Amino acid sequence: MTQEIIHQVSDSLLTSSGLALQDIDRVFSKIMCSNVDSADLYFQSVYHESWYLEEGIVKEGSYAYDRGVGIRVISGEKTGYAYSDDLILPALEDAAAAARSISRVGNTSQSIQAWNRGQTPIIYSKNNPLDSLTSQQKVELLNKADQLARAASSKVTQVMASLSSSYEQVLIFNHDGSCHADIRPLVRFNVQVLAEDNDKREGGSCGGGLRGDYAHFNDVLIQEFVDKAVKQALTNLEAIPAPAGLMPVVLGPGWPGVLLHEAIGHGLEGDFIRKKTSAFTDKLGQRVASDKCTIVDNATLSNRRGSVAIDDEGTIGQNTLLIEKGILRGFMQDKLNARLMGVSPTGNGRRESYAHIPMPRMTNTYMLPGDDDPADIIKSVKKGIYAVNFGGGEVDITSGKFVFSASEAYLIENGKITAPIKGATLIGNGPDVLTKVTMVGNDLQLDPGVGVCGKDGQSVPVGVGQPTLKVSEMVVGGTQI
Amino acid sequence: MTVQLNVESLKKVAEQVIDLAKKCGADAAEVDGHIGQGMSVNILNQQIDSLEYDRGKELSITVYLGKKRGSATTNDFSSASLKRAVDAAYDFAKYAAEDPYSGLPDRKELAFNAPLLDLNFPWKNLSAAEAIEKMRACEAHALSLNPAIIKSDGAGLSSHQTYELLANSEGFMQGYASTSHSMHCAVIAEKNGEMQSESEFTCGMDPNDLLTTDFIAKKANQKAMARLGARQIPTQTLPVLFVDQAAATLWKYLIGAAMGGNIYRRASFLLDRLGQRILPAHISLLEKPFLYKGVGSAPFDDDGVYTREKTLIDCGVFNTYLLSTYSGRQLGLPTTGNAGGVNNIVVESTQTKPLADLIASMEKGLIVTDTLGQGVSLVNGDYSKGMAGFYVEQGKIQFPVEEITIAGNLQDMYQRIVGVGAEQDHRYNIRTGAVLIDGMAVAGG
Repeated sequence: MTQEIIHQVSDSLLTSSGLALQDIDRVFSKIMCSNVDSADLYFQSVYHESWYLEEGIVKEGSYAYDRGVGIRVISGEKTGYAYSDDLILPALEDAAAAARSISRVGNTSQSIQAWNRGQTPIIYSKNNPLDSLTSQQKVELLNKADQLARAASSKVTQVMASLSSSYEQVLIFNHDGSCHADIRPLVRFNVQVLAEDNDKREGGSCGGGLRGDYAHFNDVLIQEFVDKAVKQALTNLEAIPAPAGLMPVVLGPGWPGVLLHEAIGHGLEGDFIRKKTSAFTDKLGQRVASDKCTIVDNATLSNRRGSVAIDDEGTIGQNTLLIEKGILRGFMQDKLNARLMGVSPTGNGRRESYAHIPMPRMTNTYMLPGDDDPADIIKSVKKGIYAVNFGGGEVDITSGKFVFSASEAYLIENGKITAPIKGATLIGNGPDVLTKVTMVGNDLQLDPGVGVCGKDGQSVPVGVGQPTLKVSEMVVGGTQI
Repeated sequence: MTVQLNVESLKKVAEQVIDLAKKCGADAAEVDGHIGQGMSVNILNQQIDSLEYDRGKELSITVYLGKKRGSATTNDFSSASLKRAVDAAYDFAKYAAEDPYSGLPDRKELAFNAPLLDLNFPWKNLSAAEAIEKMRACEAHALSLNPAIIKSDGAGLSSHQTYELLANSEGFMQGYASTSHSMHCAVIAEKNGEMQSESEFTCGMDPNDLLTTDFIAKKANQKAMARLGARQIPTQTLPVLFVDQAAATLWKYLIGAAMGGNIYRRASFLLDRLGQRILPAHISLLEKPFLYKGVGSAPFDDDGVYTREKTLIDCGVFNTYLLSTYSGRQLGLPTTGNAGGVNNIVVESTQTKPLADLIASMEKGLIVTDTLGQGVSLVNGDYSKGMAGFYVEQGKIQFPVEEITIAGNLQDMYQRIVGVGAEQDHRYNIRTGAVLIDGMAVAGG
């Protein structure tokens, strides 16, 4: 835990713009009155860069700087929000007045006497990842990926690779006099290949990242990403049409955990529960999964892409138990929904940027390992599919129906993995799909650090994970009837 | 609501940045500037759920050192920050590789005399209080129609105005203001523990063109009620009728596959198909960038190149790629004014039928109102998505369906279009009637 970060971030966000703590007090004095339950100011700056390779050359690099302040005022269930990208007092006061307009004028309350600086757990580096390699080294890393992919197979006709990082600083002031700060680095690498064989064309992609710096992308890891992307494309060149209909599905470990994110994750976010629009409303304490399933949302993992030391409201990130041996135990909360539901916030109040209202969002959502040997899980299936890689997914919160699309999958016939099959969408019903989980492997993996979650137009980085698991039946959206 | 957009200061900043880039030693530079302002309200259970005010700005600079390119974006318009952005773009360009196709558009393509399109219809005098009252009434109406089994999932209004500026070191500087306004109403129908959420929205450049709140309330209510009792159907092959947004989305993939970027990367199922028939001969797709109040209307593209009317699909034949300056150079062709995408695609057929007739023509089939997921490959056209909609038998809707998938290959699917609906939806950049496709694989329980 450290308070050092607050001083560093204050210097960078406030002092450099000529703002002082008295200015923050002054803004709060314009906001707070008897009708206002809570308010916060969220200062943020983000430095971002990305480098892009295609056709064997690094074609472009780009840099972005974005900074501003979001001002939120809450009265009962009402949220007023305004932001400014000008960090000057008159702009802050304008934004405060706009956000404040949701509530009638009441008696003005006391202004804040002294700021109470919160602690920030140290779960990732505070260094700026943009500086962790020279420009020349970044270019060489991408060129290396290109060479490796082209060397891997003569069928590879196109390689696209990208390298990006961001350095985010946040500073949060709450009406209760608490003040919090965080510095969040994030790096990402991705490689996408196109393979061709006669008239057939297929793509493959792979990548990863974390809250850290470019040192993560060592030669071994880049080779691994490239190999997986090439293998996926080549496998799909050989793929036969996927079967259609209800059948057993075995999901590989790691990224296929997007199943959990879509099937139950979103439905357990506190806003949908409070508004009673989730298919999981009123199911606390009830069975929503087989007793082999224990699922958590864990923001505290070191360096993970979905981790947050503190959330975007200043609550310390937590490891929240969602489902314990199949029984629904908890929801993910931000401050507003926690207060209205009479529970504690769980550190899931996240937002895309200062221009957005925080909402309950996932961090790293995964299923804990079970006892089954992954080989036994495959052996147990007479006819079904084994899906090891996925594109994205989507869920209808209210009906609970969700999909996720396999990008690398195989047939299982008589307990053996046989032919690769073309990509297919799997569809299921969130509240009951996990009750059909009949085997859970002992091989928990987290995804390599690629997840982006979208909700109400806001994107945040997330993680998912799971061991190999078997769903006894699910609809597979192939073309072979 | 009338917003004050500081256009003159944005133009000055753009000039300043181009000058800075030249002083740094850039051979050419381009600036893309944006300012915007707006308001949105959301009502839930007659209370304000949220009231948001947006006001933002952003400027991107691209610098060229010969055939090398770098870019930077900032929302801090202080001199120091602009200088930092230019320096950063310059540094990136130094490390980029020579790209023979890189560079500003040819001077003759630039929209120095951009047509004056009327795209700016601010919602005059719209106060937050008025917006709140409007959406309260909308929500109340939706609930009053069937309160026993309907609850609210929110009713909202948003109104935005933006100004887009494009300038480059050829002396080009053009911009335009535009507006967008929308209202939506979402309700949940609930019966015997089953919940179904549906919403309806209206949108337009001009607030006077929006549908009434009563209309969207009623439509949302009807849609949610119609979804109660949704179930799976068995795995089988069926004709599928894509309606509403599902129809527009179907064309979105064809447009994506025609984009020059996907063609030169060989990542398109339309590679080598130019001049071939890819749709039934009764269908044509036209681009009309100058439609009055069209949601996609624009005088120039992201390169500053004139947008233009064109025939993308001519009586079923793939007539032209959609090219930016860059992708055009890659393919040895002139730009088509499509940097950044298309501006109003209109789907025409010489054989349109009323939607009701299309439904009546189905012996057995599915109506798709929503598709779920991203299971589409533009590389080869493979298509597999979740869907929600209705099951039809003997020309009549029988019951709502869910938790099923539809699959095929887009190249086949486009060839198997057997009907196009007459009623076009003007809320999208793609104006199309319903699309009926024969023989799709349906997977269910």
